[in-house]
Amino acid sequence: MNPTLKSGMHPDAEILTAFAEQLLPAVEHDRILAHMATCNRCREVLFLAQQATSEDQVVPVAGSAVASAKKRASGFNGWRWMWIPATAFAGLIGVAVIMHFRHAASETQVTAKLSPTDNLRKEESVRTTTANPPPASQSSEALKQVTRATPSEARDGAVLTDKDTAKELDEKKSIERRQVSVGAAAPPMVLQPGLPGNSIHGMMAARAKSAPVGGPMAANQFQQQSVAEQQNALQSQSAQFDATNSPVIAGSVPAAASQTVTVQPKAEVSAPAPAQPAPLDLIPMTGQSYSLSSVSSSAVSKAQRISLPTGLGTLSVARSGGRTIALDTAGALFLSEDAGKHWQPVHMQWTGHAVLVRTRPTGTQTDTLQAPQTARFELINDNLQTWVSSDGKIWTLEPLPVK
Amino acid sequence: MDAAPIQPVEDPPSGEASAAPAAVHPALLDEFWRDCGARAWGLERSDFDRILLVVAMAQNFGLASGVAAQRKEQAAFFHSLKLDDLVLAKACAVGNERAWEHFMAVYGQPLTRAAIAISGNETLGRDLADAFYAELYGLSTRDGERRCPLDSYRGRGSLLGWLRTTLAQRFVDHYRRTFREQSLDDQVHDVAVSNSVPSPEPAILATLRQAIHAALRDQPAEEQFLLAAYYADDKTLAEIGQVLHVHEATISRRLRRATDAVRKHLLRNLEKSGMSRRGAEEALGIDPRDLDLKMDLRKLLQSSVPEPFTVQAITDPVAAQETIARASLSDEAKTTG
Repeated sequence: MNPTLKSGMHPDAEILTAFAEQLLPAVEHDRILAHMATCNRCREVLFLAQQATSEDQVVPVAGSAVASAKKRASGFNGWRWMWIPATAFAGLIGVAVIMHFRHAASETQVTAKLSPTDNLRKEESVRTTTANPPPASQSSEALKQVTRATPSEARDGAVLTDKDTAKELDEKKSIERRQVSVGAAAPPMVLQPGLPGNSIHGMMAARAKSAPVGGPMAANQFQQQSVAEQQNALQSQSAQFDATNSPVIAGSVPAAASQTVTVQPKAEVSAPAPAQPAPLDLIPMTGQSYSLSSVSSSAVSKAQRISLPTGLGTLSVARSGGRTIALDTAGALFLSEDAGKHWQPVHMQWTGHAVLVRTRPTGTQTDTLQAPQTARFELINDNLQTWVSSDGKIWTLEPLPVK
Repeated sequence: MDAAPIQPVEDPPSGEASAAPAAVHPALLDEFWRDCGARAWGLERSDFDRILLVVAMAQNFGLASGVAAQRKEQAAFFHSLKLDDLVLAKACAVGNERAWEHFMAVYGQPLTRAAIAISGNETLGRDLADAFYAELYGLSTRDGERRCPLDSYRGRGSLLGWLRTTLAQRFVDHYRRTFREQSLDDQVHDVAVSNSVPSPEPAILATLRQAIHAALRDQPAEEQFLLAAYYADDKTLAEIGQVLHVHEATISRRLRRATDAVRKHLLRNLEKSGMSRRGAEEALGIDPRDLDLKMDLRKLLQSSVPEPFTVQAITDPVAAQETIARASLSDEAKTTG
């Protein structure tokens, strides 16, 4: 027992100090508390000592507060310069992401669209084009009808100053390539004239269409050869589909359009070539073959990423301006005005089963050489009838081209 | 200083020769000497050992008298102490000049600030600090022997806390001694006020006083302390919270709970004494000044000789009565709006 807690005495200063500092055992603490409950002298001593402690701690506390504030400030100052590497890192990540998507898109397009023989042709085309650059007499109109083999070639050849424009152009081109396979009237691919990097098909087609090189006979010959080659490749890839179900409009020409040759509809060809290529309606092509053979893998993956309200897969997608229309596998059409975030169904205003949607630039070919800002949507059903719409909502039947 | 029992050294520590007897294990002395900062201010090892031995013998290592402490118990005893502060205090108590220099360098300014804070006045605080310095230095003598308050420090709390508490004790005791020198104007005024209110019946007052006593005794010690500190001493919730090391919101909750409990006990005790429920509630509305608590409190405050605290809990009902009366009135005022 503590001698100072003997009966008859107040707890001494040391016991009170230990009480205030919470150093007493529980039993002794309770005894002191019981004493102070009735002893105002000890309470007063305790409160005064505590007051002195509190006031004495004001200075070091304030000093420590300043020190901690300085410490925090210094720590923040240390981090303040982190925005430079952080910004650089974010920029690198952004560039890497952009490059990744562009590279992936080009690679997948090349893989999907070019057979091994096409790759060989592509290399040959490059060599040929380098060795024999197109003559200056070849007008841009002739080259308009030459499609690029790959988007990478387009990057090499085309002068696309704006990256976004180039990317958008690639997407449009991948969609338009699909449209070619279906056999509908396909718009020409936009290409800068006079630049190397086109496939040998394109070169030959361009030369065939130009009168000094080959004339219409050569054009027809080349086109038939190209279509036959492409048809062989497509048939090997789409063996699971029944080609007999596809409607044959005119059986004189083998199916499948070339990837590298754009067949110009008669009405739109402004080239002075005397020999017109075969009309579109003479090229038998099925939607089934389109769906597997002509769709680039990037486009397929992009279409698969689109989630339509019906929950079905996406069959075809077309974009124009800020609008996007998508066709699901059941033939239902949806319109999005916010880049695919929200979709609204479009009332069926066509007959048959819609199998394809696409965009088609409006205006002349010369206009399309510059960035086509206005385009209209086209919808093709399983009878190869075409409906057109400027806003994706109201569709009108487009009359068949005059044969 | 107590005489240290001299015993032969069994295993003298390496290095400096220790003057400590074997009552404290030599390895412990070595360990504490290494850890203690006494060497920094010039304490000799022999003095250090002697101080530890005196402290240990005075308290028998915290054990009952006659029980021999083993090394583990000795280590536990010394580890429970503020050893650095204790060695410094003991060295100062025996008049070690270097210890005094160190003491003044470390505690001089804090002690003056504490005196000013306690007295609430710089002049009074410096006077209080100077007087305390003189007392600490051992200028006072009893029976021809120099007495130093530091000699009573045993290292249970911090030396600075002990100094502040001792200063507070000196200030309170000085206030109590000099309180009777205060003018009587306030007392006359208070008496006049109390006389201006009609007094209730003496029987009711006696019953109420007994009920307050009983209600107080039934309360736990902590609730009694809270009620006394808050209602009698006019301490704030924050001040009470600092003393008890709890948040003031906790103090507030405990106070409300204690007040409710006291009120229930009071009503029950009054009903037991024969009052009706309504009469008991009316009795709680009596002005506490009618209970004549003020004068008793003044007498208590003027008393310079502290009463034995174990007896005080029973024989000092005045403060408690006032506490409970204030608490009851405050609670009554809350309920009646």
